[in-house]
Amino acid sequence: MTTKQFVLAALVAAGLGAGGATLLTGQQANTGSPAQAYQAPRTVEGLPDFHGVWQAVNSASWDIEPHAASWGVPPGLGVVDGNEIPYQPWARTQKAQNFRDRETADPDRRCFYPGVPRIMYIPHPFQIVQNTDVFELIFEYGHYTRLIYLNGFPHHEDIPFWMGDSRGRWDGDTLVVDTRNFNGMTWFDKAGNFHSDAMRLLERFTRTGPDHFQWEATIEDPKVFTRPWTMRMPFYRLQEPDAMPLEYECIFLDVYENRRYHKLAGDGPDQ
Amino acid sequence: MTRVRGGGLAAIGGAVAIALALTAWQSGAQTRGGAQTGAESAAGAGRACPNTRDSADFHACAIGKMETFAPALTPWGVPDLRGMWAAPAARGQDIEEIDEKKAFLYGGFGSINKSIVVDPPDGKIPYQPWAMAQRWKNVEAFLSQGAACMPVPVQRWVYSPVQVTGHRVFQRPDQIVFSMERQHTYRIVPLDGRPHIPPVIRLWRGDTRGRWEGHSLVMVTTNRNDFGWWDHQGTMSSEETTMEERLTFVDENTIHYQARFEDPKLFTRPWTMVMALSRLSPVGIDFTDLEDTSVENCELELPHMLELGQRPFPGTKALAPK
Repeated sequence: MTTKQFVLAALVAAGLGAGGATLLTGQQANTGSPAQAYQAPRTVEGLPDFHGVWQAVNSASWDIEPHAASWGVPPGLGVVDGNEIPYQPWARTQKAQNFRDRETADPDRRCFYPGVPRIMYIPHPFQIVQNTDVFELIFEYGHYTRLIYLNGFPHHEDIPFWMGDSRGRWDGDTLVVDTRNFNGMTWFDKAGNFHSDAMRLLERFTRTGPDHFQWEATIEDPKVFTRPWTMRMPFYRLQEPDAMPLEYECIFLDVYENRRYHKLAGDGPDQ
Repeated sequence: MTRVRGGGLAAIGGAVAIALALTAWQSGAQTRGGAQTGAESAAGAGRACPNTRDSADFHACAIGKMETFAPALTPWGVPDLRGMWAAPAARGQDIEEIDEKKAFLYGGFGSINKSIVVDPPDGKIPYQPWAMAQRWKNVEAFLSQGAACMPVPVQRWVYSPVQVTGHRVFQRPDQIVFSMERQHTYRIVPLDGRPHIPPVIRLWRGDTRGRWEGHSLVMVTTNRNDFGWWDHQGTMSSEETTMEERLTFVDENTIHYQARFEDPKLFTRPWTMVMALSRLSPVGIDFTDLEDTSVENCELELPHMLELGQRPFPGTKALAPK
């Protein structure tokens, strides 16, 4: 047997072995997601590499539940498993109130931190940078940053954060993130979907291809929901070679273009 | 927020922990495992240029050291800036010398009082006469960016006050990224020679391109807007102000940071500021960024400030002689 023949024989044997394993595991093999099939490239530190400029392509920023188009709002199939958020009765009423008052009640209208998970799917690009201690997302929108600490320290139990306190770990090629200690002042979207300060967010980031990663977030909040629920979506790498986050500065645009504060002060053209 | 592994800081109030953290890095100490050795806690210990709190002195010392020191390199062969760095103290109030009279006006603000302007030698920003006059009018007439909830302008990035952490540096062959706790500010610096963005786009952080010159990282910033001041003293810039920064190792834990500005309409001559950047050692410490909620607080306060007659700075273009 020549070397070439030996290699071929070895490859055939490996293929049969893999096929046999698939037959043995049957249904389980079929339910495995393509996510697990893709081997993520590695950073210089040997970690799964998420470096790059990414963006969600959906209408979750307007409404994470399925919704028809309305003026200025693109339609969407929703990103929530089972389509409907399992609100407690009082919370469903509150959500409806939020929707009616959204022009003034949405924290985003006041240029506050969007919070997590909302910042993830606001339709602006963001970049991921990482090292062994930190997995950091830097956003065009409001130049917000989100730091996911990988240093093994526990959450700060006594400090509330707009963006929560995110602690992550690697589970194979998947980044698993546990975020707690929210201040309860942020929403999920422009439609008034909301949570409380008791929210706990469990996320999974998994590279599924050279230009994609899959993201899912399970929300637990016993003050607002009847059970935990999950949203999920892919993120896409921007293909333009010069793609990079620019700036969308909410309060700057509000002060200098909307002249909101000038109006409040009885100044400017709209007095 | 920092927390020492195995230590009792978690049980202490945030303010106390912050104070401890600030004390730790301002003294140049590297806290490991909750213990400081005497040598580590001594200010400037082991530094090639120990006086990092006096820019002119540090600059004079560093010039020779920078040429001879061989920094650690990344696997791809350039100086390795990865990690955490901080300027020795905030100068957002005033980058020029803070004399006793100024210190009284600022309420004793600032533990460092030497100008960070090293050229010209008098430590003053060399404004044109009209611009110097306008500068002091700005102080009377307008809110500085910080007070008006605006982002950190790029020229002010390196010495902005931090609550706990300073600058995180992420480095790859084609890009270097700086992320700062203060107002969650970041800078993305491509190193691949790509052109600047179109001039119609003006950014608070500008558009920066970097390159390596020997062991120095050289960063050129264009596409700035004209809203940014260097401090609270009316120190305006313009869209034409050019900014060239150089980061060079002096020793393994110290970087000489230099920024040179040029703008013939605004300044009588180019001028340069210098600061030392000191390495923060994250070993055994939970270096958690605290959220800067200045915008959230400001959003509530700004209407009241405007009712009192204060106005956001309208930009240098609107004020320059026609």
